[in-house]
Amino acid sequence: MIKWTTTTGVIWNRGCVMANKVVISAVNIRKEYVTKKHFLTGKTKEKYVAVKGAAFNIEEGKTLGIVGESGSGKSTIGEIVGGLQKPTYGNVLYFGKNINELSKEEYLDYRKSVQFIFQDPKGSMDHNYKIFDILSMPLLTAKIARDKNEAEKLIDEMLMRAGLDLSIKKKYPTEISGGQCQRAAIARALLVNPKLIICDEPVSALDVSVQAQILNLLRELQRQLNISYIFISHDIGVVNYMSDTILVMQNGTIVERGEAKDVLLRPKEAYTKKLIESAFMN
Amino acid sequence: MNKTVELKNLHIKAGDNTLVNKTSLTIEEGEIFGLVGESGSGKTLTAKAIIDLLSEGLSYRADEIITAGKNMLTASREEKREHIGKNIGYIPQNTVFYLHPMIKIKNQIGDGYIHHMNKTRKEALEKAETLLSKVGFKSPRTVLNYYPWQLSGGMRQRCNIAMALMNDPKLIIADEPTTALDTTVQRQVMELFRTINEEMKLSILLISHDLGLVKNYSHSLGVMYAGQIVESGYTNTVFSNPRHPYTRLLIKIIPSLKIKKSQPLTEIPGFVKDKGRDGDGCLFYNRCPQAMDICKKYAAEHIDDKMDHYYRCNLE
Repeated sequence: MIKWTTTTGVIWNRGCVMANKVVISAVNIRKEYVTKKHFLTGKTKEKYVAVKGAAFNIEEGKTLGIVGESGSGKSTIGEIVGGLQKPTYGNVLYFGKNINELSKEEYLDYRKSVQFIFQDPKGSMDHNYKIFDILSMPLLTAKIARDKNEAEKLIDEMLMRAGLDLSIKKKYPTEISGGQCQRAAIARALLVNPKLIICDEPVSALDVSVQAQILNLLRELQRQLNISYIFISHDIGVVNYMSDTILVMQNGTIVERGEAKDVLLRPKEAYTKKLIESAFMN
Repeated sequence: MNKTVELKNLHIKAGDNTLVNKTSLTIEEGEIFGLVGESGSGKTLTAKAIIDLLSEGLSYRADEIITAGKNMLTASREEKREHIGKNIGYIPQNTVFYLHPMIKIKNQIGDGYIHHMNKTRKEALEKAETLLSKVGFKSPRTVLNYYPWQLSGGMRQRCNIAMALMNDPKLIIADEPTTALDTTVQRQVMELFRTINEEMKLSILLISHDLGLVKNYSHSLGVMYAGQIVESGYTNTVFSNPRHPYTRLLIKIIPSLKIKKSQPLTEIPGFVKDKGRDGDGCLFYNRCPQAMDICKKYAAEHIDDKMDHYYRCNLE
């Protein structure tokens, strides 16, 4: 069992045996953006704090949901965990090791093991390449497949798993629908055998009838492959369905955290209550 | 009760491709009518056809279009323009591009009022000030002096609403008014629509893809699928007794907090048809769990006069 203290973000273990392996832990992450500099000295005059003292663990095969309004720092946390941004203070630990102190091989392994799925499926793919090229590129760069033939076998298997027709390989991202494109993006993320996928609003740009398909696919793949997810969304119903634990964020601070059913069915913080009230649920 | 909008048998075509087919709807005076559907189902096109704003390259025909008491099919271009300018307010989805970013709010909010109502700038500004305080600004005079880029999304959307209210319209068309906004701001904006509707007794055509939102705020609704209204009626009736399989699935598909997590979500297999929308058969045929052979050729229309509940399905 793990306990957190929210103010300082220190993680401490209460002498119990942990049930699951922790893939990634964030320790007291703070992210500041400089908005105004002195014109000569370059000294910071104004800064914007996007994330204040965030700390959490992600266990193997589990989903951490992050909810909050836009500008609350949800995506920044995802990007810091995935290594796309560096935190101003604090550390990200990958299987207990600080990602800044990894050796070159370990760092490559970390970047391979943490993949992203973004909100706009078409925007996250280059329109000048066919789906096959887009999917084979990470395989060849990460040296998982030696040549294109080997890559094709892996891609075929993954496309089928993602519920796509194989004819899609020869098409451009502009020629297929948003739902198909998001499935292809999921296939791309899964090809390099990741341990954690950061889903940044993966269904917000999709229609409700397609949304259910994608959510079911993500859950099914998690069951089969034992992957962890960070599921970022502003839709409380969707986050509740997907997550085991939930963080509620407001202006860069984690205001409430805990098991999904505890947080959303019996919210303690006024802000969480307000969020749940404003969502129109059936 | 008087009808603000009466639309019968609307067809919209882009070249040979039918986009909207056999769509009829009526909006009564003083009600909020919700039009729900997925993207590409023709919600916006239908709304634009009502006010004759379809873009070039699209042609439409209909048996009847009456908007705020004027027959739009027989009116001349000039008449239509004046009628729409005076009686209809339009609130777009994209708050960022609707207001000109480099012109102060006070210099653009009154343009329609000055043009259509033959008023002076001073009168327009006075009216704008009262309306801006009505839509929830505490100091409307400072807002008037702002540029749109200095306002947040919710504030901009409120300016748009105030702008749409300038001419005291009979109908407001709100095309996905809260899609770009946060959930808490969405609630404020929707509450504002409700107060406007109750206080000023004007009709609102609310276009949305969010069934939960429409359920909460509309008096009656129409569900669109692939360019057709498949079910319409009073909101309570439709939600308590949905008759079309698509509506039933839509209600079921949205994950609620009470959902059992161990079970997979109900899904609608396949994708929306974007070609061949002009046949007589049911367009939901290839995705429907209860499809029968007859659905391919024919879809029966049912109208319940008493409850005003319409649906298009062969199931009884």
